[in-house]
Amino acid sequence: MKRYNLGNYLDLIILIELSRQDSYAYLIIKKLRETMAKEYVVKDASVYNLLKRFEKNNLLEGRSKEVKNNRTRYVYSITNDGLLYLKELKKEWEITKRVIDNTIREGAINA
Amino acid sequence: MLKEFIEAVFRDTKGQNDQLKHEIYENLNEEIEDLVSSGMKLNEAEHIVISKLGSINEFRNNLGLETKTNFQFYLNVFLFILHFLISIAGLIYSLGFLSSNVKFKPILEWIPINFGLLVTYVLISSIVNLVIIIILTSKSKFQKTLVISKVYYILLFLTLPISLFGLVPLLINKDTYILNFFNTRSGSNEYKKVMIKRLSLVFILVLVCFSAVTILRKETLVQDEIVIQYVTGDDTDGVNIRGTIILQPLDGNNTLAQFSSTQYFHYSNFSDEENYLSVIKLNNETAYISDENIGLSENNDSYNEIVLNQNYLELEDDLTIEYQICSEIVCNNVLYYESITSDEYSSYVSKDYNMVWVWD
Repeated sequence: MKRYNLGNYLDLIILIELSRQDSYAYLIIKKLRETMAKEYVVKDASVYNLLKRFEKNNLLEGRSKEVKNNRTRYVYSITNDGLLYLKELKKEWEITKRVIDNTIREGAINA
Repeated sequence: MLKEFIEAVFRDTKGQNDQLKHEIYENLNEEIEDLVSSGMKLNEAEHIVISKLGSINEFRNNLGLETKTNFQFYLNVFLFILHFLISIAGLIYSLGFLSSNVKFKPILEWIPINFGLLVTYVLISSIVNLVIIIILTSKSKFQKTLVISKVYYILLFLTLPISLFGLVPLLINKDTYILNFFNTRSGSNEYKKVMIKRLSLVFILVLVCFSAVTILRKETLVQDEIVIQYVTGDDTDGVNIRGTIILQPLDGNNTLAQFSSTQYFHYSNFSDEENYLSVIKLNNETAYISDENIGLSENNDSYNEIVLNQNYLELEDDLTIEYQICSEIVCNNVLYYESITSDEYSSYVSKDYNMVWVWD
């Protein structure tokens, strides 16, 4: 089975997830794996890389949180800058989706 | 094992990554706990979680981590520059020596033309060059740390014959050939003959050097395709060994074969092609493998186990594993054979865990 990479859309998906609620890397990865089609592959490292990049660019804010059994979780929250960036990404996605849908539809009519 | 993997990923990386290291460790631990709570054995859960991360290098690269430029790199560059300078000096000396003796206007008149000096130079430079080349092209980390490896090989190819060119006068008998050669006048038939001989000799030297570098390069390419990471450590049940063999072909897919303190071998995908990994010997004893050969599945989630016949291996022992990858289960066609010995990696002893050998 051929497997695909989410590429740039991983930015969008992660920010959407964090705009709903604060979360941490493992939970984000777990949710992505549960919700995504089998054809798509999510690498743990890519998610960590992205979260760190967003945090560095002040799109996300991270903080350590103590949980049970003396364990800590590093939890991320989306910032105002992050929300603005998410809005941009959503807009970009809508345009891309519309252009591709139109192209496919035209192709179907012509065929 | 998780801790060791994470430590290896973050070892010698640039920047402050303690928080990220801790974060990843905690998250992966939680994932392992989830698997264990669903009924999986701790050992198996660890293997599954680590194997999906890929090789140490792959995980490190995907995290965007960069490794520090270390002492070996500078030493490597220093040795290479030394080699290069010696080679150029060899060329200058040789040209100066030859040009002055054939009564051409000396190219570099300031070079003291003294046969004794030349002999000393050629002997010393040849020995130094030889040592440098052996170090740089050996299986050690030296050659691997040179980032500009392709440029290095091209320069090595160019400079090696140049440095050997300094040997030309020595290869020719001093009393007969050199004196006759250098006493002849340009334009004479004797001179032309000598020139042809000399150019032939240089040509042969170039060919020899080219062949040598090509062979070394080929060997290195094979090494580049394979990443072997081997981890051993103390476990609660006494002295034992656990390890990971990661075979990483250039296409980016991995074979992950691991054996733990319970001597199980696990693997994940090697490539889209059906390939078979078999362990032939462990410490010179034929390793008993339950299925004899193991098919490498494309499915990351599934893995088979190979039970080795040793209950444990003493850490003091030199560990040697021989294994091969075949294109068919009956192994008529061996794609790759490798024997790894702990001796080769003894320099990678760490206090955190007994030994880690990373060959990349």
